[in-house]
Amino acid sequence: MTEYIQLAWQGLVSGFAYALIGLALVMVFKTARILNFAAGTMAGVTGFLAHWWAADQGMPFGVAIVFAMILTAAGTYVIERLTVRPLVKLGDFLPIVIMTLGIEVLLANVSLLWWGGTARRYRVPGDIDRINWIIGDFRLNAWHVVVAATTFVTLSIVGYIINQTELGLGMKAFAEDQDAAKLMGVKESTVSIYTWVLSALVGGVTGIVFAPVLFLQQDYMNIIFIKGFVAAILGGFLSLSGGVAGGLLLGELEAFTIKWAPREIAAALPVVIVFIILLIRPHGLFTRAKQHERV
Amino acid sequence: MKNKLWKLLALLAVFGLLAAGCGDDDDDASSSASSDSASASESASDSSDSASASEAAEEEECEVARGVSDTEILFGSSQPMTGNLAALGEAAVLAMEVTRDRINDGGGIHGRNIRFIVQDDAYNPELTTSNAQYFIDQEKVFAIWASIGSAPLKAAIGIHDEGNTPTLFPWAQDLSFYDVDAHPLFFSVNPSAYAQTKGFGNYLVENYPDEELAVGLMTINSVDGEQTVDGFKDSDGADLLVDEQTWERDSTTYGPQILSFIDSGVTDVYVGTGDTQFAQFLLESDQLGLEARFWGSTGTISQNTIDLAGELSEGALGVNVISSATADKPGINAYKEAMLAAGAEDAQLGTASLLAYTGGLVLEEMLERTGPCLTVENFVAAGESIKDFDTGGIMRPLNFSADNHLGNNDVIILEVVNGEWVELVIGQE
Amino acid sequence: MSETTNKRQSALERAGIPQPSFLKKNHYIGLVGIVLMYLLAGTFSSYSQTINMTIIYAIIGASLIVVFGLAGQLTLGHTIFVACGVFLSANITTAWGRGLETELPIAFAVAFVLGMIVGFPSLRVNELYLALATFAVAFVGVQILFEWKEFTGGGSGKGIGDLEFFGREFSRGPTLVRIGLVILLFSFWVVGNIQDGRTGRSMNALRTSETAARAAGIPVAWLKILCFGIGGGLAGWAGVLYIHTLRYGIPENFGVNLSIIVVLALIIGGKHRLMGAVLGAVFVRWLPEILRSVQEYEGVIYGGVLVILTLWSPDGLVGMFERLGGHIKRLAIDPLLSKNGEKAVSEQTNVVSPLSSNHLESFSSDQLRGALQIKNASVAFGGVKAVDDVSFEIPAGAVTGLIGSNGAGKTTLFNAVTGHVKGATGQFILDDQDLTGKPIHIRSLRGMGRTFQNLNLHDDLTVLEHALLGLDRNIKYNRVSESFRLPWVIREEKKAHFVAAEILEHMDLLEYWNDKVEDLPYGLQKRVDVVRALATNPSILLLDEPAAGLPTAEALEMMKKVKEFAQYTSAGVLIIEHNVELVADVSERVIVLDTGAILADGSPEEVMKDEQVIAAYLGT
Repeated sequence: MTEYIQLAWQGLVSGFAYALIGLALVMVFKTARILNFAAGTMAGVTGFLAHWWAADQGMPFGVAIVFAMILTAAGTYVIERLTVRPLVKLGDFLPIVIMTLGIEVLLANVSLLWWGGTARRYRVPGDIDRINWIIGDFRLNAWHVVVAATTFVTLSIVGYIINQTELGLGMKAFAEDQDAAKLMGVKESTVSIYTWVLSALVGGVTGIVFAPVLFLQQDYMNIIFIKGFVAAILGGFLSLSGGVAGGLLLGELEAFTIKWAPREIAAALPVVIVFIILLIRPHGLFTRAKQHERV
Repeated sequence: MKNKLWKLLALLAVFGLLAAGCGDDDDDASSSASSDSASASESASDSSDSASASEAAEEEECEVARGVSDTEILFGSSQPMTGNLAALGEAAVLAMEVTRDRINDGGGIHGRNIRFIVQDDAYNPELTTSNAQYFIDQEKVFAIWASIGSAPLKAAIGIHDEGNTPTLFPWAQDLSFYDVDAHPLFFSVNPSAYAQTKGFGNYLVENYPDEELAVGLMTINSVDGEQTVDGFKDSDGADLLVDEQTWERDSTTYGPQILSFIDSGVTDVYVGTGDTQFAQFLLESDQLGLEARFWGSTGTISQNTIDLAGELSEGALGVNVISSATADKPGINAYKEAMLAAGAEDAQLGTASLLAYTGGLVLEEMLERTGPCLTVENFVAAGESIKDFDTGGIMRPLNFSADNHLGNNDVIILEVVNGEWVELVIGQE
Repeated sequence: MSETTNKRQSALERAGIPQPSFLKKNHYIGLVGIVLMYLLAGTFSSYSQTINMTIIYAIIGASLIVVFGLAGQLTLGHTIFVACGVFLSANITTAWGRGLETELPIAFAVAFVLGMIVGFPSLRVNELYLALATFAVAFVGVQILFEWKEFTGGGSGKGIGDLEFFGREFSRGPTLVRIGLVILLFSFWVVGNIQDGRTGRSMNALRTSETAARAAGIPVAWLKILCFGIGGGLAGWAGVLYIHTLRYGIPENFGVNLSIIVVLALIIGGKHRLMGAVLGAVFVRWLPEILRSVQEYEGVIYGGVLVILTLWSPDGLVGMFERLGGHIKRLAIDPLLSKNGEKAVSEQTNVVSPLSSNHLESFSSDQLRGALQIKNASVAFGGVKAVDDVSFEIPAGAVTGLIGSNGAGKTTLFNAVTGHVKGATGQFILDDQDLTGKPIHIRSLRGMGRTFQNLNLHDDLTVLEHALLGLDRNIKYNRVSESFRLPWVIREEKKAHFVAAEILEHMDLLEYWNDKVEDLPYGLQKRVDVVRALATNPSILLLDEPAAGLPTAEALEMMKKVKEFAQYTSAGVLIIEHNVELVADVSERVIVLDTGAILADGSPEEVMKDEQVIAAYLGT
């Protein structure tokens, strides 16, 4: 029994990463109809920044994180204004997708030039990522608890913003019907910029909390990004909670298939399952077909 | 009127096409000749270009190969300088630069300096082959000298062979490269992944006779991984194998695999990965409570494993073809000193750079032995003549011959003791 | 050619519309380019590897043009077809020892079928979500290839055998470039022919408005699947070349990354033009080549160029060059040519109506058509019954008006008849054919033509192309002959062009034949909508508020033309209108609909006098 719980927990921890990136992707897609291919790399840069300020510049751990998040927000603001906004007016989403790819290439290479290819250890206070608690047969890593807590807090904050604030209502209205939202006086460019920044911050949090788990190496967040993308697809790409649920589901799928499926097919099985789900429900698990027709 | 002109042009064009197509017979002959001369005999024609100045002087003695002048020998190097293997590429290039500077500062070899051009291939065969052609046809290099990227090299090696270009690749993991008939110009010093696990299996049986062993193999889901498993299955320890797990380049966790190892009660886990992944494996094994001896493959043996895993790396073992990059041996001390002087980080001391460096030693010896008349044939012959070459303790003495371009078949076992990789025993395949 | 029936000059000739021919100017340019490359391949042998990769990317680009540029189906899983070609080739050359003569057909066929399978989800989701679903295909595909070790060699990959064609061996290098160019030429030719033929037109229509395309009788579902098939097959060829160029194929390389790069290349180049495929391929393959000397900063520069280029020219390099060319033409060439003056549409010397043209002969009919029976039609949205048990019959060849206030259910009834609304109940019978439950395009093919209240035109397509779209059903050549532009394809195309021009002239649109519809004023757009419907030669034409937004005089003029055409073809007309005057003027019978049910039915005079009608609708 404990073994199952252990496996489920491991899957859940991976799932948190996919869920957060999935959420970040869905957010931008839902309100602005943009696939942000730079999301993973942006998240990775946030992680590197936090590490760089702490390890190379000697800042306290927490302050470095705050700095990294502020810079991420500011950087995203500039990126959105300079590169995405001028293209939104054209009404064609393709150039924007290409633009996010361009940004991805640019950021990834700047990051490589700056920090080099060698992996680094992201040290956390008290090295708590190396502390394991043993409860019966169940083993619990302290940092994994931090990951879970961070995920929970991030989701709560995002949930609060979406449901309780004016910005969130604007985002919702926009996601429902862009024209109606405009008539209601919701300003598209405002909603868009806040969505981008919020999405980048969610990504940044992911980049930071998973840095001790995966080590800081170039494009360490890209793997997470692709899985997050699949998670978002699984969730239907239009539902925030769907993206999160898709991520958690994918994490569990991976954990259980690698453990129990025959070696030959274990690696492919999670994606094959996702694929079959998509064949049956091409519009994802958590959205209705109708929503996609209207897009 | 204008329309007619177009049609006329098109007609001409079509005829041209047909003519070129029909004339493919001779065209093909000539083009294959020209492409062959762009490959096989290019060495001759090109070198006559590049060496025309020196021709007068050396005419009677020999016609040197393409990429060789009186003062310089040019090499091309295609390695991953971006993407997730960039760290290895960076380390290898640094070691090559160290080698180059050492040779050039010492006045070169037979009066010639070494120069090499690095091009990124991001571990992508598309780019590796483009790079290969660029080196051979445009830069007119003498040989390809690189260290990282066995899989992409499989795509490019054909171009090297056709271009009559020797390939020196100290860290080639794939068995197929060592077929001298197929790749007569290929030289390396690294036994394949197959040989390494075979040596590992033999070593286990020999050195732990009193223990009940249960071995788990953790390999990458690719060519290296398959050969890794095959090697172990062909060793004396084949019966000890109880669990095989694979990992993907896009894995984010090894948790499930580790849980499976715990399940099957392994006493020894062989992990065929890079250093970052090995560190993560150690980390997660600790989290999940896998208690076993951890054996890392060549790629895991670097200072970076220890930096990343910290305490957890203590006692980890390594199966390698070279000694530790931090061992106190004359060859390695020279390497360390040169690397650090060239600005290497501690983390870059490891298999990637040490193997590249060792390859440089062999290259130096080959060029030295070839003598002033540097042709491809002489170079290969010189390589095959190397016997008992002393690397200053980095490897066992190297021996090459006409049917063995590998030079080294030994496996070295290392262990992390007090935050350093220490050489335990030299085993034999 | 017009001597047979009258002395009238055909509309097509008068308007100077170029007749479809075997080759166009673009073909010559392309041909010359390819021949030049062919001849120079030896000279640039030191670049063969990169040239070959460029050719491969250009072929993949061309295949994507079909899927994406034409049919608008965004796919991120395209490299699965390339991989298909790669590993088929590897196996054919090594296991069977056969050459290109076996590799190319098999690669095409298998990738074609695979493409159709992958295309299936496209029937169920929209463009954007399809991109995501195909992303998953790429992801899964690469895993399957990975595990299928016998076929792909698994992680170690598979090598290629000799480069042979019917047993004759070729060296690689420049010869491979030449072979690549021949395959490129062939693929471009096929894609170009598809673009110029009915398939390309229908795909364009499907991309720009699926609803309208269905209404014009275009089999949208089949086309969607077909575009994936063609695109897949061509990409399979690219795969054959790919492995001969690289000599080695590893499953890992055909994942999501490559899929994204090839789409990126096409968008950077320009997604609607073959030239775009070439420019995109040159961009992604040669920029790194140029940046070799600044190796370290290559990635940064590459990303930067991508960002700047997208900002500067979002529609790709083709768009950029076209604008540049336009500037040059305006500034440098036009002033030189201005003396010659513009060639206007030559004045009509004879005032004979286009309806007497022999080109429209096939449209004329003595048999009255368009008898429509509507039995118990109901449509409910949620709890509200928009149409409530409506039944009526329209005799063949009649002009009938359907009036009612806003929300009376007119358009909904229309949509129920043409199949544009889901969940309609009741029976719909046209000329003794039961159309109940039939898909939209089948109803259209059986004689139901319609226009749309909120203009549903195909942006980006010209007026002439709209007319040709309607004629699609009359164009009799299959898609295979179309791909090779066989003689009868040109003959049929010519015929269709002549007919289209006559219909345009009848609706006074001839001089605008080459204008994109979105550039036309509203009134003309309405007529284009009508033209598209007329060209389908419907048995009954359903006009949804044709006069809305038009001055009454203009509307009347248009209706007069429509009636003339209907009479000529013996078809019936059913008009929904607010404009009672107009309806009364043109209809023989008027049906009044109120809150989903029939309120009155009779001759215009009778209905206008009906007290209920006056009270409910005309009253104030």
